[in-house]
Amino acid sequence: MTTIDPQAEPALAKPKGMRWESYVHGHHWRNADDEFDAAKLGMWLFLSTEVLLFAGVFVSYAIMRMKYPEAFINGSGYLDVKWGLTNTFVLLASSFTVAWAVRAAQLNQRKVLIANLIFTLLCAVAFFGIKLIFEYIPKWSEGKRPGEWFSYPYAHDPHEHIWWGIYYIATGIHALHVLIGAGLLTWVLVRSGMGKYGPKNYAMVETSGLYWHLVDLVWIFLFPLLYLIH
Amino acid sequence: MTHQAPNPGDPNYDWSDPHGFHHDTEGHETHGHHVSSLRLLVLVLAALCFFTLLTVWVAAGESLVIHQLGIPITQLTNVLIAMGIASVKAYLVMAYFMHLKHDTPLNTYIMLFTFAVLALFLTFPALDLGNRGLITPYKDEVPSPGGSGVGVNIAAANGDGESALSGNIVDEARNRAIAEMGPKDFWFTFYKKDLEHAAKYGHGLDHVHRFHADESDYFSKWLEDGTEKGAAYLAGKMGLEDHAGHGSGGVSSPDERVVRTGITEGLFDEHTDHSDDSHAGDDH
Repeated sequence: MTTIDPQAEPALAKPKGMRWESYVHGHHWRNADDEFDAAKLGMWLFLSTEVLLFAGVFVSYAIMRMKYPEAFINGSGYLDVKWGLTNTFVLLASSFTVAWAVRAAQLNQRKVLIANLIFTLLCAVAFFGIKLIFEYIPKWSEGKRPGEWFSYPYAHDPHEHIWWGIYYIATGIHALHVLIGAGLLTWVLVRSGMGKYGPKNYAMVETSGLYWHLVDLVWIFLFPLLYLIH
Repeated sequence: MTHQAPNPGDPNYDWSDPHGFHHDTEGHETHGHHVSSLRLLVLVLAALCFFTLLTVWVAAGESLVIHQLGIPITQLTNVLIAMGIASVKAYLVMAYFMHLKHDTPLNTYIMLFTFAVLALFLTFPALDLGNRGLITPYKDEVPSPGGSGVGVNIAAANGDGESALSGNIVDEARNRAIAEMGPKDFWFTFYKKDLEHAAKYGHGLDHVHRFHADESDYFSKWLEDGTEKGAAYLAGKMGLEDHAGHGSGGVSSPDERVVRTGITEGLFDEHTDHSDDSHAGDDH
């Protein structure tokens, strides 16, 4: 890296534990707006690659459902709409609180910001708990497993292992994103407690929030595709 | 939003910002960013919850129409309605929760481009699979949902050189259970689960056999016929064996080779195992 003015570097180094009031945008940006917009542009580009990752899931779902419609109808019949619906509401509520958290950061309401982030994290735990306790564990132990591991004797269609393959991959990748999003928001929560986010510096709250909204967005499509087939 | 293009002759002209993009916002506490009103966020949440319930209600309604009124609703209709409602929800999330409505348009264009690419990914498999029905009549008499369901036994392939190809995975699981429990207990549990499922979701037994509507009396038939014979009869009746292999009465499949008849008669005969099939050659 070429340093144009080595003497300027120490002055621009950000002190540890710096609060949002003393935040200065990077010296390579023309102003704070440019920095913020670039951070968001980068996040949206990343989110588009995330959509393309899930595109693989949706396309394989479409192909397999077109080829084996009966397996998908039977497979969907094993799922309980009640838990899918609960998890949808959990994610929608958490999406709302994340949007509220961004608003709180913009308005310098630190307590509201922290409360919203904690609620969102509780929602993430609830989602994952419901998924694991009421969906994954009972189904896996009954033998409703993907592909080669399938051993459920009371299946009605010879292709039901394909349905379970799609089900576990789709919800599994989504659950992984729930975990990653919860990790990001935990990081934001810790730094909110340190007073790092406020009107002058909330890009991290905004971008982590965007990631969490994407998790919600994917579930909005997965829920009817997996639970509401006849 | 509306601003006049800066004039380089102006004494306040900012040479680091020739288009005046950042002139108005610099120095403001919130960078001039849009702050969503709490009322709007609550309204969006309410709308999202409503559309979630709506999609469940619509699905329940479809189920009612299919099972109670006996009017079939195609898979495509089911998917299109559900995805339409989901798209409205996705729009609400992206426009208001993700601030695209008040963001630079570039971020919206990125997302629109991505969705266009996703649509492209979905279109080509749909064109292929959706139109196989057009060519199937020329290959064979009966269009089929396709697939033999025969799986590869990875354990055997990695083992001591036994046949890597096994039977259908689902059939194997059922046969294992039949061997363990005996046919009578097994089939009793099998239909008991169906009855429980039907009672739980409030629709008839044909739920799991929508495509075998004329065989919906299988339960009583099984009781009449007794145990082993009945079990075999039912296994056949329910199409469990029909799907499993090649002996499916001339049903063709996208995964299997079939005889093609064309200008050069018999050109493909030696490559197929269907040459003695009654449906194979149309003009023997």
